[in-house]
Amino acid sequence: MRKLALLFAMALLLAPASFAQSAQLRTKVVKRKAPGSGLQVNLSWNAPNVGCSVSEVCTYAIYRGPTSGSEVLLISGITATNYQDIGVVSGDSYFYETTAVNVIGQSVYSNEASVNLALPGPPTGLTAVPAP
Amino acid sequence: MKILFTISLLLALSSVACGAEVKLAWNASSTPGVRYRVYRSTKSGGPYRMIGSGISALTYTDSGVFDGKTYFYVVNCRELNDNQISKYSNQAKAVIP
Repeated sequence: MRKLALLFAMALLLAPASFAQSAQLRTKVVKRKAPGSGLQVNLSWNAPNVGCSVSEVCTYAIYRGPTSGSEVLLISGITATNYQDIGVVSGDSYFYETTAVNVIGQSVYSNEASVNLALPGPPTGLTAVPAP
Repeated sequence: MKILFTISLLLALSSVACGAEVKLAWNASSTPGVRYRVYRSTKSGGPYRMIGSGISALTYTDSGVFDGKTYFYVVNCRELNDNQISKYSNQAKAVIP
């Protein structure tokens, strides 16, 4: 009986996706420092409270999509808790999610964060009147 | 030489001195939180030179104009949070009498 309880507890511990990506995913659009300029999206997040530590090494995966809920894997194996997405185009919108991955499996998705790189609307109806 | 310089300076000043200026006005961008930039050219279609930036009002007065000249103006705007710049507005023409 005790053995069974232990097995059950172990199964719970080892179950994939049993640790939550509690972290708040944040995005910030910045001008690229690299030549050719353009924009990049700086993503950062917090490590999960459970499942990632010195002894439980985690990597992170970023998912990206053009609309909410349409995210597909962009990059995995990130060891830092931030990422610079330079593959963005001015005028488009991007939605992001991240997950943590340890030896047991993958966490649930983080919150969804988004950026809108649409150009601002131009001013209209310009008039120029000389005034003596 | 000095006299010539003084005369030409006076002449140059006199053409500005009558206080010619151009009053510009435009409609706001559809995007909130933008700052406007004003550009001027002596040629229709540009190239334009920026004469004012960081403008939050919808008006601008250009007092750097000369009598008898014709100027062309455009305005665009910059988003404060991500530095994106809009396309130019329509071009407006001002003939200084």
